[in-house]
Amino acid sequence: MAERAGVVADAHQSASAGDGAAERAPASKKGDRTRERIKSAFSHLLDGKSFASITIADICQSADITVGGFYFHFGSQEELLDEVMVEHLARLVADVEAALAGADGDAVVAAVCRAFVSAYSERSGLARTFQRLTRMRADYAARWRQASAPTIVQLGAKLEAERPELAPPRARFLAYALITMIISKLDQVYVYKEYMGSKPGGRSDGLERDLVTIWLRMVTGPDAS
Amino acid sequence: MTTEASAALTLGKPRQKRGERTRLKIKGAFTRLLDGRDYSDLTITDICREAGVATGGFYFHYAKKADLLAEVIGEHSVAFWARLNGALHYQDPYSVIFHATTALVAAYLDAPGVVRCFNQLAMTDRLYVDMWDTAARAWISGLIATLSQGGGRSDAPTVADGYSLLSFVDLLLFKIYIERDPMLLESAGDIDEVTENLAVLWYRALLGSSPPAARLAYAHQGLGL
Repeated sequence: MAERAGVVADAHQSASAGDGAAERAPASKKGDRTRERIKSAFSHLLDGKSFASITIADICQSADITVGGFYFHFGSQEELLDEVMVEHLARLVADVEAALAGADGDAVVAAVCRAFVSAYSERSGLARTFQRLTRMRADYAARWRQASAPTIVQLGAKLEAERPELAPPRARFLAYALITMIISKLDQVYVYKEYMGSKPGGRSDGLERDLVTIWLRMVTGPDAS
Repeated sequence: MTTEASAALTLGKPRQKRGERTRLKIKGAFTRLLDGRDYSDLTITDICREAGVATGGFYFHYAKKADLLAEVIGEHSVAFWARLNGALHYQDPYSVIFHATTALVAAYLDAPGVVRCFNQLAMTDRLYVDMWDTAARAWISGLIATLSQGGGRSDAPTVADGYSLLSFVDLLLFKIYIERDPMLLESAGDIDEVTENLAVLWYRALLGSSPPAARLAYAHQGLGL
């Protein structure tokens, strides 16, 4: 309960944090390295804890910097959260777009599923935090919508090309549904930590295979069955 | 039947106890307010004003806001799972899945605020995660048993498949009716079409084929059927 209260309280204090990050960032190489170390320490802490329960003292200890050093780079913990979330989202979307552009047919399906599974398995703290934030906060939900929209449109166009009988809006709906299917399954494994079937941890190839199977079943019409 | 449920059935009758009526008014007001605002934003004063009840009346029934929330969510959950269990009484697999989808859509339309609040709590509060998890596992076991009748197929759906697909349908409905993602609103069609298309996707993912075309109202413009 305490965790939930913290998360919600955050949501109302800080709708528009993160704007100051660019100006405050120092130009020096050393400063950049410290900034990266802070972000990396924070990301690792997120693997094991919720962002609301992580303190600036935890981050400083983990990154081996002083509290003053932290505030030199970030105005607040929210600003740090904002920056790592923006980077996580950009990387995920870029990976999925590369997967979509790379191949055709079933290879695309496998590549897209792999991009999502990699993001969740390699950066589970970031992925989990981002998913939580999209459910708890309207600003994060809007960010996800904005960032994922071009990908969904692109996937919709691909599905439409493969299945000319699909009307464009329905192709887009199907594309949206497939992405949602992947996220809901990964949420179960990495966010809710519940997965009936193969266990998470070292079994991400099994997870990818499951996702590909469901995907192919969902887009299969009566002709192919 | 719970006291609250029987009270609900006799609402407005003169022999209704005044205290029960107040309790219902408070719950109704709370449910309405949740449609437009976050749980954490609502004060007991807001709830009492909306209900037309004195603050003392609130504290006669509930020690704190969280107790009211737990009762309202508990009642919605009981009604929701009763509806989903009703779907299991149908004989053929498509009817089962279609009526289950209908029950899910109805839950989102009837009390979107309560559903949103439950979804948020389930992200962070173990109590609510377990509440969903226990009920979902029981229902899915029933679903798989119903779908497997007369089967004996080697690729019969597993409880794990059913579990992740229930989460998928739930997440997509969340994005349509709670987040109201514009891309989904313009591509998904009206409520009947959403229900049918989701049932088709759920059916295909579980059974590996499309439902009989004669059963579908939107076959000509649906998902490429």
